Amino acid sequence: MALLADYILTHLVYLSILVIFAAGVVVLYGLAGVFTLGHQGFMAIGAYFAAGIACLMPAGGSPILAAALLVASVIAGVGGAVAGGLLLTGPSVRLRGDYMALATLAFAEILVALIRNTEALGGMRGLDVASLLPRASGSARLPILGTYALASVAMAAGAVLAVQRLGRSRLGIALRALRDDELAARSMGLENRRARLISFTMGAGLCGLAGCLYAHFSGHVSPRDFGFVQGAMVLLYVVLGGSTAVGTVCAVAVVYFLDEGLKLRCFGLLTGGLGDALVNWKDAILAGLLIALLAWRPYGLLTANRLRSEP
Amino acid sequence: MSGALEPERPHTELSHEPPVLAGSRLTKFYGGVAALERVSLEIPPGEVIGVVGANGAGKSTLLNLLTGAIRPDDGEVYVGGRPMNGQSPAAFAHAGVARTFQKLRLFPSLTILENVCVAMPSTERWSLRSALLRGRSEVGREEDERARGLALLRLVGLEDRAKHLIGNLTYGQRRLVELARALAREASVVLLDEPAAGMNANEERQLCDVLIRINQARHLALLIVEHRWALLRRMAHRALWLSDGRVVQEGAPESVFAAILDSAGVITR
Amino acid sequence: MSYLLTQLGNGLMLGCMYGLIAVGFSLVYGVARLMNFAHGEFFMVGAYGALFSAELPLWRWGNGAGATMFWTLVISVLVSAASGALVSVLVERLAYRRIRRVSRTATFLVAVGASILLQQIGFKVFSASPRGFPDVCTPVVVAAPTLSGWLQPSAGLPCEVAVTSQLQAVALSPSGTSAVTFVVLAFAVWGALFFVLRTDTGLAIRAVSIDEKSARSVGIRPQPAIVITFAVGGALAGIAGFLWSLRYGGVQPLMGFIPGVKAFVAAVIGGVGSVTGALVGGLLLGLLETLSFAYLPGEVSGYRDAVTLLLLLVFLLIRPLGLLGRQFGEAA
Repeated sequence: MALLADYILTHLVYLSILVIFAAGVVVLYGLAGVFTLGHQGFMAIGAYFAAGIACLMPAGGSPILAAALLVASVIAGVGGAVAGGLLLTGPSVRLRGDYMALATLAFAEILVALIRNTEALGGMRGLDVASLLPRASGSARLPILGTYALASVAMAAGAVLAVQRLGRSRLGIALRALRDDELAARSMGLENRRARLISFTMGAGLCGLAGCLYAHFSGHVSPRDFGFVQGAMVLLYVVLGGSTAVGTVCAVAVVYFLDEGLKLRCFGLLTGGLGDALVNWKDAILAGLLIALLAWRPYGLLTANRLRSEP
Repeated sequence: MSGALEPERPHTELSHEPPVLAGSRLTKFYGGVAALERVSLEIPPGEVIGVVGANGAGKSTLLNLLTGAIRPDDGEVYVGGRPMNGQSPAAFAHAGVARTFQKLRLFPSLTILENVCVAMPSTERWSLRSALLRGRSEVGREEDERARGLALLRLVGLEDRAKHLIGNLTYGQRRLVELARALAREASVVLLDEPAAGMNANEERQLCDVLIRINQARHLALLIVEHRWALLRRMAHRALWLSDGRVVQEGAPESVFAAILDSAGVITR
Repeated sequence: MSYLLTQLGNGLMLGCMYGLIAVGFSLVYGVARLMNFAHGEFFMVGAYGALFSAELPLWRWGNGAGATMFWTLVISVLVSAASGALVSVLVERLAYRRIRRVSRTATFLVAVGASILLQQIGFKVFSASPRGFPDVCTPVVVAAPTLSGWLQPSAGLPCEVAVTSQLQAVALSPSGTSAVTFVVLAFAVWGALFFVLRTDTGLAIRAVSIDEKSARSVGIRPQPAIVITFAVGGALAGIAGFLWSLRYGGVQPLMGFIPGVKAFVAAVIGGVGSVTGALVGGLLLGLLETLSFAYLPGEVSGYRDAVTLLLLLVFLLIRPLGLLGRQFGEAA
C-alpha cells in the first residue's frame, strides 16, 4: 500500500511540473498565438540555473541557507528563462508562423548543444543537483513526499488559475484579438510588441519555473530531458486541450495516464504476449493515437468546429 | 431604428481646424502597375466623403494607405496635420483613425461585446499585474468598458447578442459589429470599406441611420468607399471618383455621379 | 592544398546529399505549405530499403562481375527511391491530407507524430543497432539459398550474396564509394532539376506552389500535383539515404533526424519553396560543415551542430526568404 502511495505521490509531483510547463505554453501559443517549438529551452534555462545555484550549497550547510538558496535558485531560474523569452520577442514580431517555429526550435537546440558541449554544465551526462530539500527517505518518506506533492499540486493549480485569469482579463482578450487577426487588432490600436513582451515574460517564466522544480525534485538535469520531442508533446497537449488552461490540464493528465498505463500493461490487466507487445510498442501506439486524435479534432477535443482562428 | 432622423445630409460649418485626415500625392505601385498615382485628398472635421470607382480603381489601396496598413511609395499621409509616413496601423489608431475592412475582419474567438471593447482606448490594458491581481480599480474599468460596449451595440441594434460569438450572426449583423468596433475607438475619423456590402435594404437603412446619427452627434468625419450610391446620396457631403489609380473628379456627390453616368454613356437628362 | 581539395570534394558531396533532401522538403513546402517534419524519416526508409534489396539473395547469379555490381547498385538506387516515395505518399494520404486544410499547427504536430511513429516502427522492426551497409553480410562464398534466409533478413543470417562482397570491396575503397556516390548524386540532382524546370508536371507543380487558386482556374488539379510532389520528394530523400549509408556507413532508425534538420536549415537558407535554392543551401551547408570540421580546432568542432542552427537563426532574422526564395503569403 505504501508502495502505491509512493508511486502516486511521485507521479503527482511530476505531473504538476508538467502542468506548469504546459501552462507556460498555453500563454505562448494559446493566448499569444506564437507557434513555439522551443519552449523546452526556457525550461532548460530554469533547470540549469536552479541546479547551478543549488551547487553553491556547501555540504552540511544549515537549513536556513538551504532555504535561501532554494528561493534564490527559483528566482534565478525564472529570471533566466524570462530573459531568454525576451530575447525571442523581437524575432517573434517579425517572423511568420512556420518561420517562427523554426527560430524557436533553433533557439532551444542551440541551447541544448551549448550545454552538451560544456563540461562545466555536465555535458551530456548532466548535473546532479545538490539537494536543498529534505530527502524523502526512510520512515519520513511518505509524509515528506506527501508535502512535496501537495506543494507542487498547489503551484500547478496556481499556475492554471493565473493563466485562466489572464485569458479572461482585458489583457488576455487583447492578446487573443492580436492572435485572431493581427492587422485588424493593430488597426484597433493594439500593439503587437507589447503583447509579445508580456506573453513571453509570463510564458517563459512559467516554463522556467517548471524547470526549477524539475531540477530540485528529480535531483538531476541533463540535456536529454529537454529535447525537441518533449517540447512538441507539450504543444500537442495544448492543441488537444483547445488552447485553454483547463483543457490542457485534462490533456496532460489523460496522456500521462495512458503513458503510465501502457507502460504497466494496462496496470497489470494485460499479461503475457499482449502485455509485452503493449510495452514494446507503447511509444508507437501513443504517437499513432495522438495523430489520430489531432486529425479528428484539430482544434481540441472539445471544440468540434472552428471557433478560433489559426495563429 | 425609427425613421425619426433627418435622412438628408446634415450641414456642417466650415472650420479652420486642420483636416482630420489628409493624403498628399499618394502613390503606390504593385509590381510595375500603379495602383494609385498622386492622389491627394483632405477630410475636414465632421465631413462625410464618399469614394467611388470601379473595382481595381484603387479605392481599397487608398484606404489602406490612409490607415497605415500599407506604406506609400511616394507621397505623405497626415493625421490632424501630423505626418504619419512609415507608422504602424496601431500608431494611426492612436492618432485617431479607425476603420472597417472590405473582407470582414472580426475576432472569431471573442464574443461580439469583447470584439467591441477590445478596441477601446485604454492605457491600463497592458498591465500584467492588473490582469492577474484584478483589484477593485481593474474591475471598475472592466465594468465601465462593458457598459460603453453595450451602448455601442445598442446603437447598432445588437445589444441582446452581446455574449454571442460572431459565428451566430448574419453577415449584415457582423458588418454592424465591425462598425461598432470601429466606433469604440472614439476616433476623429472612421474609414469604411464597403460597409453596406452584403446587407439587405433594411440593414442598409439601419447602417445609414447610425452613421448619420454619429456624424451629427460626435462631429465624426467619415470616409466611405461604396458602390451603393443610395447610401452616399443620403449622407455624403463630397464624393471622389477614382479610376485607374487617379482622381477623375471630386465635388458634390450628385455632380460626380452624373459625370460617372455620363462617361458610361447613360443619358441622365 | 590537396587536403583542401579533398575536403572541398567531401563538402560538395555532403552538400549534395543535404541538397537532395532539402529539395524534396522545399518542393513539398511550396506545393502544400507544409513543413514536412517527417521528411528525414523518408531518408531513413530509403536507406533501409536499399539495405534489404542488397541483402536479397537474388544476385546469386553472376560471380561478382562488375556488371552484376552495377545492376545491384542501380536496383538499390531504384528501391531506395521507391521506398522513400511510397512511404512519403502514404504519409500524405493518411496523415496530412485532411488536416492540412484545417490547421497549420495541428498539421505540424501530425508531422512530428508521423516522424516519431516512423522512428518507433523502425526501432521495432529493424532493431536499434546500426547496420552497416553493405557490410552487414560476411563475405560468404555462394551457398544454397534458403527461403527462411530470404524472409528474415534482419535475423542477420549470412547472406548468400557473392555480389555483396563485391560491393563491400567497393565500399571499402573510398574512391570507389565516392565515385559511385558522385555519379548517383549528379544524376539525382540533374533529374530533380530537369523534372521541376523542364517537364509539364514540374510546371504544374510550380504553378500550384505560386498560387493554388490561379492554378486551379487554369485547370491544374492541386491534389495530384501534391501527391506527385510528395512522391518525388520522398524518392530524392530515399536516394540520399542510400548514398549516405553507402558513404558514411551505418543504417539505424534515428539516422533521419539530424540530416532532416540540416535539410530544413539548407532549405531555409536557400529559400523555402525554391528548388535551386535548396540545392544551393545544401551545398553551402555541406561545405561549411566539412570545412569547419576539418580546419577548426577539436574542442570547437563539437559545436558544429550549434553553428548550423545559429546560421539558421541568423538567416531567419535577417533574410527569412533565404537567398533565392520568393514570398508566400497574403498581402495586408
